[in-house]
Amino acid sequence: MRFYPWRTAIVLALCGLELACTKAEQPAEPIGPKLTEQQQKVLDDYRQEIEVGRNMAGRLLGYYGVIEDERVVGYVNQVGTYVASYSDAPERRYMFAILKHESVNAFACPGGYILITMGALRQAKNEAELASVLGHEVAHVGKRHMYDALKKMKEKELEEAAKVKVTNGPMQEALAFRERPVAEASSSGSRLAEYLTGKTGGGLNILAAAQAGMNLMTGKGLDKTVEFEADQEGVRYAIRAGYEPKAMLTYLRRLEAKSEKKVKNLEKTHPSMADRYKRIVGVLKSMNADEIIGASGEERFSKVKKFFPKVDRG
Amino acid sequence: MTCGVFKLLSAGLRLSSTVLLVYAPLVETARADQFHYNNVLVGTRAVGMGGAFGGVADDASGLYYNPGGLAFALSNDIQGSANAFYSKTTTYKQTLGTTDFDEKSSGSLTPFFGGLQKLDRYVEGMSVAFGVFYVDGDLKDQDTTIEHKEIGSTTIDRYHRTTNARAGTYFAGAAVGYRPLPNLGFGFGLTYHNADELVQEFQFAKQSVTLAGANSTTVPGWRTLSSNVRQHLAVYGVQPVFGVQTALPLGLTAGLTLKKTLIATQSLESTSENNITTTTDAQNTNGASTTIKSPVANQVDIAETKSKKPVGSGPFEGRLGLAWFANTRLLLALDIMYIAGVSDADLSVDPAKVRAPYAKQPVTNFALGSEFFVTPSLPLRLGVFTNNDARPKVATGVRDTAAGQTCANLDYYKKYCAQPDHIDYYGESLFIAWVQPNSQISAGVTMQQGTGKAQKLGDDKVQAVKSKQYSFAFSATHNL
Repeated sequence: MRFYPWRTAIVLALCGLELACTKAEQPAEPIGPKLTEQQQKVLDDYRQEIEVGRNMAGRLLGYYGVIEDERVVGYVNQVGTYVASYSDAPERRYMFAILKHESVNAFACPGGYILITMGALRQAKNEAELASVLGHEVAHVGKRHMYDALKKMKEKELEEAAKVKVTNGPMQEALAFRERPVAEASSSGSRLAEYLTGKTGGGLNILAAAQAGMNLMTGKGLDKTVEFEADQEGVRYAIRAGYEPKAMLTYLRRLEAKSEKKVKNLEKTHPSMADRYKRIVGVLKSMNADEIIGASGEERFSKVKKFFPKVDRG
Repeated sequence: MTCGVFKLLSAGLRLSSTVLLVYAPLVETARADQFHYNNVLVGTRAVGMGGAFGGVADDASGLYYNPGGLAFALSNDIQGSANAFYSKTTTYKQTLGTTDFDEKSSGSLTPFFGGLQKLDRYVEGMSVAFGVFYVDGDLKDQDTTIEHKEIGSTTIDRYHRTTNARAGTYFAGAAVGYRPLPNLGFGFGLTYHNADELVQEFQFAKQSVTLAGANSTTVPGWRTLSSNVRQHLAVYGVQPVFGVQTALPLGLTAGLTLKKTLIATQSLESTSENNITTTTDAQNTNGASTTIKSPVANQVDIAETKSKKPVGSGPFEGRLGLAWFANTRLLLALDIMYIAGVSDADLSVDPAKVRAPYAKQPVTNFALGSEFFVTPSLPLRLGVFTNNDARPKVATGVRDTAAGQTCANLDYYKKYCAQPDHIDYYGESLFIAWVQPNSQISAGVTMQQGTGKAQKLGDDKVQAVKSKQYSFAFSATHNL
């Protein structure tokens, strides 16, 4: 086969022309009311939040694996979405997935991607306890705890945080030295993407933020203040939704009583059970929770519990 | 080729060296170059690193370099590469008198396409890969004409040679890698192998000669030689490959790969027609010169060769790879490759049954490569490597007609005449890539320079050979 440089150049030029024409066909302005600069900034910020969250969730899913049983996943989504509808940010979209790991933990990624481990699910006794846990994560998302934490980081801090490698056991640790630098989504790449899609890109280095966020969540966790706030708000949402007010307390008590490593690891990323318990008691008192009658949802929960899969990891 | 020479010599016709060129097609014609093992490098990262990838091999190209490395893959990937353009020129110095003779080929080919899938979800530490790759490819379409050339005491009125050849060596297969321990991986692969070469060559030469006439006179004449050759080689087989790789302290890794080509079927079919005609002017009885072309000699040789074992058994190959992941930005690697010789190639392919054209000697090659991330998105890859010849070195004999040391003597011929080319190459590769979080594209150039010796004319004269080949290549990888 011969190489025909002129023919190749013509074909490439035609492709470029076609691309330009496609771009020219796209409307210069989005359809709908024109946004002010401030409104556009807010919109872009939300888009960026979703990008970071999606990336982070993807990494966590890849890291832990995901439960695919629709009976269980659908149930968790049903409960979570229901609780979220009683949150302070019900207009957001919340998506729930179950991680294939027996450790007790849950992750609230920016943008509404909430991941709960199989271990955390298994520790719940009824639907009210599950609703409290999910309410806690919904609060993290609604209050943008993780996203704000990442935005506050300076660029260098973000890069450093992204470099930290958290591994999932010796098999994955053995691969750590082969990692290459975290490639930034380049400004020229973003411009190209913007040109091709007509969408504006964000200012945060999405990938570094996602990696840093994942490292933060699986490493030292968020600040204690925001964890307490999430506890408080999560309980409020669950009560508003009609669940048993003390469900979170019984859940935390159960975890505290267990000595297994998979449970104790939760305290690496969260305040101590005792502290959390104390603060939730204070919140319930202020709400006169003793006078509130809520549902435990035990019957439905125990029906779904039969489908909980066995997980070998963690 | 050599059979024709001996026949003509025994007929008493003293042939000039130029005549032997007619039979050159079977001396060293266009081949896929099964005698060099590093003609084409495969893999997005490996090609930039000169092929020094046996200690890394943690992507789809691990199928080729070391299946044990597949178990250390960081992510799923799919990759493809293409040599957008390659060109090769081999110059035989002062082959036709003082004139150099060039062999040229060019074209494009797709060295590698493959994918890797991690199976940690099912079996922790396991990965599978598939790949399709060309380790050699050549496309020749050459037309050479030389006119009015003096070569020694002979004048060549016209020499014309056209060569059309296409050749390729191709593999397709799959491999699995598994890490039973965090720092130790094993892998096994099986690939289908096919080497195919088709050569069609025509040569024509016309030289002025002086012939003995009546009454001790001499008569001017001319001789024409033509040769038409068609040769097709096809080899099919499988190549099992076994690899092991281990991670050592301080970011070092070591890998060992063993492979053996098992040939299922092979065939060579060769047909040649050679014609020598000697013609002279004749004068009419009135003394006026009239050009009447009277052939005084005409010889036709037709040769057909078929062989069911032209290349013999496939060689055994071993590769030792070492790599040092100095930090996230710098990777250095060294590979040493040993390919054993093949001694059971069919001797009958050579009509004179002197040396099997596809016999191979053991070869050792080296490759040294590096990958350096100038920025997190911009790695620069450099490599140097050898590409040595599996044919024996060309031996130079001292012709002594009085002592019978000429190509007409079989013992002398076996050692010093019509030997195949021997060209050793040294290569460099330089590639730059643009890495995005889930993909990368790379582009660069690979160059090889070779020196060696040849006996292009089929006699005992040795020509120096210089060869250059370069290819512009690009590749893309997407991580899934």
